[in-house]
Amino acid sequence: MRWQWRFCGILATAAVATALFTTLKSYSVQADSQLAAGALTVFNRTSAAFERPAANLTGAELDRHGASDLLFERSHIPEAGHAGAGLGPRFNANSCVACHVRNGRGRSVPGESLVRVALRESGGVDPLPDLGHQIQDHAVFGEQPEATVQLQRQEEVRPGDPLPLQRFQVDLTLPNGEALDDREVARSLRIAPPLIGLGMLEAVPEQDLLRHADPEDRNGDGISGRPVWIDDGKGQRHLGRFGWKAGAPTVLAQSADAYLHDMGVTTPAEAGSDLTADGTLADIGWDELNLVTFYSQSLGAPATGKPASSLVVESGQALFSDLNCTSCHVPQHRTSPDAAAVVAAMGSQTIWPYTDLLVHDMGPGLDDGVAEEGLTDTGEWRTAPLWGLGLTQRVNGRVGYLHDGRAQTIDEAIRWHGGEAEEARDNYLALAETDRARLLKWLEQL
Amino acid sequence: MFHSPFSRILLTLTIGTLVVSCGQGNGSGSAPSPDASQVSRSFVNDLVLPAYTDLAEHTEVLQTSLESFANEPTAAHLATVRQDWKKARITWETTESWAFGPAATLGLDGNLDDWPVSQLELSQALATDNFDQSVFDALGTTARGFHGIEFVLFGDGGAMPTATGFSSQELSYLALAGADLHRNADELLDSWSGASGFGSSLTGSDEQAQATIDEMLQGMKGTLEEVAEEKVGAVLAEGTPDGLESRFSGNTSADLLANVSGARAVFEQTTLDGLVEAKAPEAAQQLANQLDTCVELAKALPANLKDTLDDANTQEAMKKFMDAVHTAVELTDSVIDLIS
Repeated sequence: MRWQWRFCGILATAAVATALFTTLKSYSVQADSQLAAGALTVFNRTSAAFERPAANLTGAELDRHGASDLLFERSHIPEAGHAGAGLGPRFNANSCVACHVRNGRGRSVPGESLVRVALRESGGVDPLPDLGHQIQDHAVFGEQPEATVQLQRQEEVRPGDPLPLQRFQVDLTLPNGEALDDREVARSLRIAPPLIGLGMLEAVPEQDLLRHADPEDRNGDGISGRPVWIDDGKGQRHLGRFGWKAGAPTVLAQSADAYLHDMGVTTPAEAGSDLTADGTLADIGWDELNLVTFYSQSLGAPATGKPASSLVVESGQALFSDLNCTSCHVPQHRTSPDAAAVVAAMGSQTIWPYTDLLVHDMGPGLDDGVAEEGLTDTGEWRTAPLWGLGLTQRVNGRVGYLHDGRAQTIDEAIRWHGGEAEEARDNYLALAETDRARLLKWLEQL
Repeated sequence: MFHSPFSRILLTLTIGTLVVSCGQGNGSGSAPSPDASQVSRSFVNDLVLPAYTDLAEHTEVLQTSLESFANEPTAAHLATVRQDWKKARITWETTESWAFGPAATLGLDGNLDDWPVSQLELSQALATDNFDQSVFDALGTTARGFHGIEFVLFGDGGAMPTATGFSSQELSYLALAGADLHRNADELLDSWSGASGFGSSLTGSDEQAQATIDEMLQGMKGTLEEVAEEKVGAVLAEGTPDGLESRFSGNTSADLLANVSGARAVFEQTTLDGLVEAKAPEAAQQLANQLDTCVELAKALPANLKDTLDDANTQEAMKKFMDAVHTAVELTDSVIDLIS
């Protein structure tokens, strides 16, 4: 009898140990930083990595993603009554993929980038009369572009950094030949950011992101982190998450904005309507807008190149944390269970985007003089997600980091950090050469 | 046929079993299997560069014949230029499986092959009194490239224009568009060529060579997916010929044949099939057979799809082709899972 009890005890202990081991194992799997997008992680590090649908989509979701892919790649034309109608009359590009080349970063060239503008006298808030906030440098036949854009690289030496860096000088010329005066008109070149993981960023609960906000810098660490609030015109405000300055609260809003301002294609103001906000018939229907939105939402993010247990990852993550980069590039988040309504596998996932989706003052080197909705400080930028960073060269055949693609290496991008990130940058520059190389090696496998 | 995740799992398991049971198939006495470096070099040197050289040559021939026709719009010149367009077109469509390089990242794919044609803009431009380079430069990519030339050269799908039916503006447009097309094809060849070209970047270290194998398979898959879902599937779903690429010239079926032939060439003309065969002989054979089936079914499509799209036999042939290409996508996916 005693033997039997002892045996039962051993069995029970083994069962508990097994359960504990399983739990721990399952936790460690969930927290594996190689699975950048949790269950939606794409195991593909080829040039097609950003184009693959998220893993674990259902058959119906895959079919929907396939249908939406056709719309995302569709070239728009001006004439009505044709598929893809509604282009222009002025625009920056004629399709989503023209700027989101292979869903990666755009190039700093006209036709794959755009220029945002604002009047300097208004502190970068007010748009230009007749031209608005964005220069549309292409036009359908018979119409004039708003202006032509010319870009020149300029060298600049930054305080505290012996290495000269390069930035773009943006020259804007009106159709009548008149140049827009840089002293009056602030201009900000923008390339398309990588398109991966947007659905998951949308699915991080607002309160979780706000936990990282410290707009008054009450903890005195020099890093604020400010939420951008976007008014929906119906008395509600929503946290801005998308765009270089967090000007769009949802993937749908960002998609509609890109249709309108980048392609000149109007979209319905609300579900069930064919009308734009000003009451005119929209160029594309609500279903099409929704479907294109789903395309972005159902893209995954690639697994990192190295497993979490590798020395590269362990030392890189440690350095990243030691430098306090993680204060803004917050490594991991958890998606809401509600996200399963968008994509079944998206709910309750641990993801590793390395962003807080908040805006931070990045100092004079990155101050473009252009504020956007919800912003007054023109030097504030949303913390850019870092997932997929190391695939930039493979996906797009060249690299160009930061909002305008000025940085030709990750090292250069870090050197441009200032403002709230200045101390982190200084600490990075003070690192031993070997440690800097270890940090960069980790970033290059993201 | 294998659209559901369950079907994909079954297919992968089946192939996985075949790999286990047949993995020792490359016994003594057989030729050594190619390694990744050999395959990547063959891909660049034996397939891509010759194909882009052909494209540059064929678009140069087209440019010359367009200029000849513009200078002397005779029926003989028109017949030649239409033939030259089709020849260059097939060469281009064959290369779709390796459009992952500069064709995409430098925007050359769009410059050469944007679709649909902006007929409104083209018509407005061709109505200007003096069609010159500045008018041409004001046109976007949807009014240039292969399809812009096709629209003017072959008409809008109705009766094709005769040699005497071309306006002076149309003749000027054709000459300028031919030069633009050739310039872009030359740029594409240059971007792949030489020690600093994209091709060299694919054939370096062993790690790079393995990455190139992955790119090759992804490129095949991407083209096959586009054929099945966009070029055939979407048209069948909509039931109108509007979405049929190259419908003005009646070249759609030839486009499709070139697409799947190009995908097959990636597998079979680069020794990639040998590399896969060494690891998974049955999987390699299945994919090779399926690509052959796709090519045969593409050949069996009616020559002019746009005029017979309502016909039940045409729809059946298109569906059969589409299903075969879908299966080829699934088999390519399985090979990717096995060897990447």
